[in-house]
Parts: sequence; C-alpha cells; structure tokens
Amino acid sequence: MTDPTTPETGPRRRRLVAGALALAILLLFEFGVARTKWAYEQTPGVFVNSIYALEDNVIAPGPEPRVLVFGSSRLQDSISPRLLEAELELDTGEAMNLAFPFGDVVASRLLYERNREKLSRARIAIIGVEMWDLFGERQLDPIQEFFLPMDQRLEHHGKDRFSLLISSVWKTYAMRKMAGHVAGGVLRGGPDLGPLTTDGRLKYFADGGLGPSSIDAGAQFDDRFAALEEHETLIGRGDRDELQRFIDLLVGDGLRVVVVHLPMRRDFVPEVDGRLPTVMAETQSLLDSLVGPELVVMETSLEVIGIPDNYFRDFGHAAEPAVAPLTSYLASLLAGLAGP
Amino acid sequence: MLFNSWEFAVLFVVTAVAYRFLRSVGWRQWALLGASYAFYAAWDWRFLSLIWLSTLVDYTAALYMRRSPHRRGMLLATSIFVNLGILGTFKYFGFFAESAAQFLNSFGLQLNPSTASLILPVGISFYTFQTMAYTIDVWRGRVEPETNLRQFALYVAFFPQLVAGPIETPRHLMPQLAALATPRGGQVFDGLLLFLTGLLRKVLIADTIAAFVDPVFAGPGTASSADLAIATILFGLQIYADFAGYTDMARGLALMFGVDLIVNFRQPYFATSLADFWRRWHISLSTWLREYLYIPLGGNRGSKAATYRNLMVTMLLGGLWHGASWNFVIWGGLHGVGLAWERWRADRGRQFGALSGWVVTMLIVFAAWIFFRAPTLDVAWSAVVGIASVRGAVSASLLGVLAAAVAATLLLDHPDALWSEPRIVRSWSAARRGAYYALAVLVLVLAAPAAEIPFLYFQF
Repeated sequence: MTDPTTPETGPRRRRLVAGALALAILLLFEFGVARTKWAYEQTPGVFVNSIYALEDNVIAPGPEPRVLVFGSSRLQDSISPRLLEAELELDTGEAMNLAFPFGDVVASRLLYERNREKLSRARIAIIGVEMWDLFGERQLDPIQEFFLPMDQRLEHHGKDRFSLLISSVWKTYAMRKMAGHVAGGVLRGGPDLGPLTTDGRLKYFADGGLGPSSIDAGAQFDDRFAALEEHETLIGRGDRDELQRFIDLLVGDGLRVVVVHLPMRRDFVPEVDGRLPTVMAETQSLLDSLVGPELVVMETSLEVIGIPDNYFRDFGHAAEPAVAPLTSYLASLLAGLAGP
Repeated sequence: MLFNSWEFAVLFVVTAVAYRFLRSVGWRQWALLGASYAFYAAWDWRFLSLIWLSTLVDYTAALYMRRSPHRRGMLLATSIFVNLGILGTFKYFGFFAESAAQFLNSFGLQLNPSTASLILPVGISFYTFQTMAYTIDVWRGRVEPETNLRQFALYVAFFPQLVAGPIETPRHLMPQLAALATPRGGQVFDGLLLFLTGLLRKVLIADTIAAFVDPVFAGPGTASSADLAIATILFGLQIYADFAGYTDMARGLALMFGVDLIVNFRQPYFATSLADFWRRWHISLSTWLREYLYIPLGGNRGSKAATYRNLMVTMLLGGLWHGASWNFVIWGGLHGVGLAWERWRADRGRQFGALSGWVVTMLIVFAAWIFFRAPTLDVAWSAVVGIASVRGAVSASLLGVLAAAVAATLLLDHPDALWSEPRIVRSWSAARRGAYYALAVLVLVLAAPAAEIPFLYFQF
C-alpha cells in the first residue's frame, strides 16, 4: 500500500522514460497497424475492410461505371453486376455492386465520397434501404469512425460524439470493433478474397445452393426488428435525413437515383405485419416523401418476381438461385425509366 | 456514470486539472466535493438529498457528542436510527414486508402488503456504513468530531469510493482529506497503473465472463451439471474481477489526488481457510463488520457457543447487507456456518493442511456463490440440483473460457501481489513499466467487449 507520507521513491527520469516508451509503442501501433491497409486486407468482408476490398477489387480496376448498386448484405448477395450489364447491354465492369455488410446509407455515402471522381461519372445509382436502418437507432460503426469528415463528426450529438472525435485522430480506437476480425484474418493466414465472385461482387454468403424451406420467423424478427418494437411511432427515427442527403449528393452529381427495398420471404412477412402492423405502410410513406429519386421500389410480393421462399437463406438474404431473377427484375425496372 | 465511460473521463480530467491549479486545501475540498456530487447526481440527483441528510445528521450528532457528553448515547442512537432508517426504507422495507406477508399467508392470514416499489439509491450501503463508522468512533472517543462541514461532507461522498467502497474508516481517510496536497509524480503514475489494472480486470475478465455465465444461470434447469459447475466457478472469478477491478480503479483515482484508500482484496482465492478468505476478500467490509458488529456482540470473548453465535449473526447480517433477498442471507449463513465449523475444529485442535484447507475453503466459497449469483431461491436450488444430478456433457466453450479466465486472473493477481502493490511495480525498469502501460491501453481498447456493463457491487 502506498503511504502518502513517505518520500517519493520513483526517480522522475524513469517515469518520463516509461511514459515516453508507452507513447512510442502506441504510436508504433497507430502508424504500423491501425492506419495501414494491410491490417484490414486480412479480412475483407466486414466494416472498413469491405470499403478497401471494394475499392481495390471493384472500383479501381473497373472502367468508368454506368450503374452503381449501394446497400447492405441483402443487395450484395442479390444483384449480379455481370447479369445486370447483360440485361442493360452494358460493357463488362460498367455495373458495380458496391453493397456490403452493414452498408447503410451513411457508409454507402462515405464509400461514394471517397471515390467520387470516378463514381460520379455513372448514370444511375441504386440505393438499397432496410427498415431497421430507417427506423432503428443510428448505430455508430467503424466505417463512420474511420472515414467521416470532421465537419460531419461535429454534427453528431449524444453519446457517440466523444467516440467520433477521438477516432478522428486515434485510429487504434476506431479499430476496436474490428480487432477480432483482423486478428482472426491474420491467424487464418492472411487475405481471403474467396467471397469475391467472378461476377464482380463481394458476396456475403460464399456458398451457393437453395435456402431452407422454412425459418424461425420469430427468432429472426427478434434478431433484426425487435428494437423497433420499443418505439411508439416509427416516423422520424433513423436515417431518413441521411438517405435524403445521399440522394441530394448523387442528384447533384448528375446521377439518376432509384431507391429499392428488397422483398423478404413470404413466411417472414406475417411476423412483421403481426408485430409491427404499421411498419410497411410507414416505410412506403417515408420512401414516398423523398425528394429526388426517379423510382422508389418497395416490392413485397415475391410472385411478381417469380421466386419461391427457399430462394432465400434466411428472412431476406438471397440464395444463389435468386440472383438471376432478382437482377432481371431490377434491370426491367431500370429499363423502364423514362429519358436517356 | 461508470468509471469506464467518456462522461467520467471528462469529469475526472476537469476535476484533476482544477485540483492541480487550486492551491488551498479548502478549495481543493470544494473541487472534489463538487465533482463527487456531480458524479452521484449523474445517476439520480434526487438521492443526493439522502447523502446530505446522512452528512448533516452525523456531522451534528458528532459535534454535540463533544459539547454534551452526557447525551452521547442518545446522539449515537439518533445517528444509527437515521442511517439504518434510510437504509431500511430504501433497501429492506419491501423485502421484510413481503416476507412477513408470505409468513402470515402460510398460516391462512391473507395480507397483501402495498409496498411501494422504491428505487435503490446506488451506493447507499457503502456510504451509510462509512458515515456510521464515524459517529461510532466519535462516540468511542477514537476520533475527534470534525468541525469543518465541507471536510466531513467530502469524507461521506468522496467520489472514487462513494458508490462501491472501499468502506473507509474515519481514522484513515479523514486526515488525508484534511491535508490534500499536490500529488507527486509517483502517485499519479501509481494511480494510473492501478486504474489501468482495475480496468483490465473489469472489462477484459469480468465483462467477458458475464456473457458466458448469464445464459447458464438464466436457465439452470436445462444446463448440464458440468456447465453449471463451471459457470459457478466462472462467476466467482467474474465477481472478483469486477469488484477488485472497481477497487483498483477507485484506489488509482484517489491516488491521483494524493489520497490513499485501503487495500480491499489480497488474492482471496489463495485462502486456506474461511477466516483467511475474509481477511482477503472485501477487507473493508469484513473489517467494518468485525469492528462495529462482531466485537460489540462480544466477539470471541465469551463462551464458545457465544462465539459461534456471534459469527453466525455477523455473517447473516453481512449477507443481508449485500441485498434484500433470502439468497444473500443464505450466502452469509453458509459463510457463518463455515466459520463456526472452522472455529469448532480449531477449538478441538484440528487443522487442515494448506492444500486440503484450500480445497475445502474453495468448495464452500464457490458453492455459496450459487446463492449470490442466482436471482431467486428457485433458480439457486435448480442450479444446486442440476450440479448434483450429474447430467449432460461439458461445453467446450465454457471450458475454454474457464481456462482463459483462470490464466488472466492469475496474471493480474500474482501471488506476490505485483499488480495491487504499486511500490513493487515502482522497482520495475522504465522499459517494463512503459511496455505495461502501452499494452494495457492496447488490450483495453482493442479487446474490451463493446457493451458497458455496470459493476456488480453497484446494486448493493
């Protein structure tokens, strides 16, 4: 036990050296690991790693794009750029699927802003949206902590503001939610680009085949939507303003915007309707309130697209057989857009 | 407001900077007192009134003990009545009313107590015991009454130890608060070391273990015997890492203001007897119970039977101190029976060897943790039956977590007390200390679970 009345025993110089050494080690980690792309290339499938993987493997090597697809893992697995190009008579690489896990509208906008010079030459941007992003509490993810510009960090209020300010200068801190993935990637022996398929997209689920004939709808609802049940009203929460901000940016750059809410399994819809009776209508209403999109698609009927329930792996991630019909359906909508 | 939150970091830095620039003891006391009240108000500002009530009553009672010595007994009784009254009202009223109703209902007398559901003010058990220690010590003539209200208020509410101890004695803490000085560089570094070590214990060990223990105790009826046993051991490690982690952080924070709080843990799971365990576990509470309950009851000065009775009463009340629940009473009772049994054996000249003593002690300690962890008696009983029924297979993931938790606990709880005794760490080379600081920060930032989990002892 330290006795405050005893004279100091630790020499001042040694304390200073210890402090300087600690700082040096932290700086070494910051610039040797946290700020390098190497760390994130070990596991390209999640968070910041997805951004780098898309930039290196899709955007940089591709030609000038014509169609961009933004969104989460559901869009990532559903839309094949090569099929889309074939349907729309585009050259290889002109359609880019830039969707990725946790790819909400803020993360998608940050990806666009980082590559704006090239991506702004596209003609059409498809933005996939999810109900839990629109109405749920905004979650701070590593992509924002890594890439959000300072002025946008200062816009944030509440408990995440400290994290956003600290992570702007200390990327080791911004790395904390990915550290397990990075360490796992290193332990597995380095980069694994297996999910990058030959049709030009990073896949969320690497394996093919049909999905299950039935799912535990209640459990999957709890996993994705349960937090929404706590809100008395769904209107006004989440990312509506962020979505409009992204649309404004794209429209300002001369792109035509299509907003898409992908369908979910038939046997999941009653669970949503039963527990959140107004969410579909409110989502439709929210999407209708957007200014700028040329087309807003919220298709809940799988019959229109012509796919059965087992074309989904879970409540709404497409299995491989669903990719062609979903891509064709999207292409038919784009082909129907008026004008050049 | 948790110690491991950004809000607290801001409060601490602002207070530490102000403290550094303020030169007089009085202004430093004001700074610490303001920070302490702000810290407490962040939970619920309304309950500051209870702290103020305790402060004013005990300050006044102690002063009048000196002015009117013939009324010392009455003043002490008033102080105890008010403090235990606050504690009883907010912590135990519902429990006793409900228990009485259940007892009467079992005889066919229908009684439905309309017990208002009161919020339990955080830290009430800790600061109430601390302030009671002051009036009792003044009554005994061990300490002089404090005339400076600000100084006494700081003794009651000093934020590093306000909500979960250590429960300080006035003889140890008040002289330090009366002479607040600029902390020396060594104290700041030692405090930082303790704080980091405590944070490691909390977020790396305790919070990680919680994710594995909670599901098992949420459904003990379906868990295998081995999983229940492992989860019980894990909980023992969790609560130790959680509480010792909090204590390290509290001691570290206080040291950065030049205040030395008492050591609360000394490697308790190395204890070779229950008496030894209580000299190592929550030392500030066991000291309080010994000085202000066990000894006044007669301690071991009477007959053997009286000693056993005093041990039982002390531990039963010690259990009840933790919470208004029969689980805590049983937990305390098991320790009381164990201590009385040890004393009974010692009276007959029987002693365990070091290894057998350690095994028996750990069996009792960890078995008792079942009642401490389970939310209800039914759940506790279900866990006990589950362990005894020898069913199912062991979960590999739980075994892995157990191995990792034991290794991490041993690392941070080296038998030589490397980590909890800063003076030993002071002998380290600069390179070793620097590496420790950096690695601790990296581990805390990169490996901590995302969710902030409150300290377990905040509920007491």
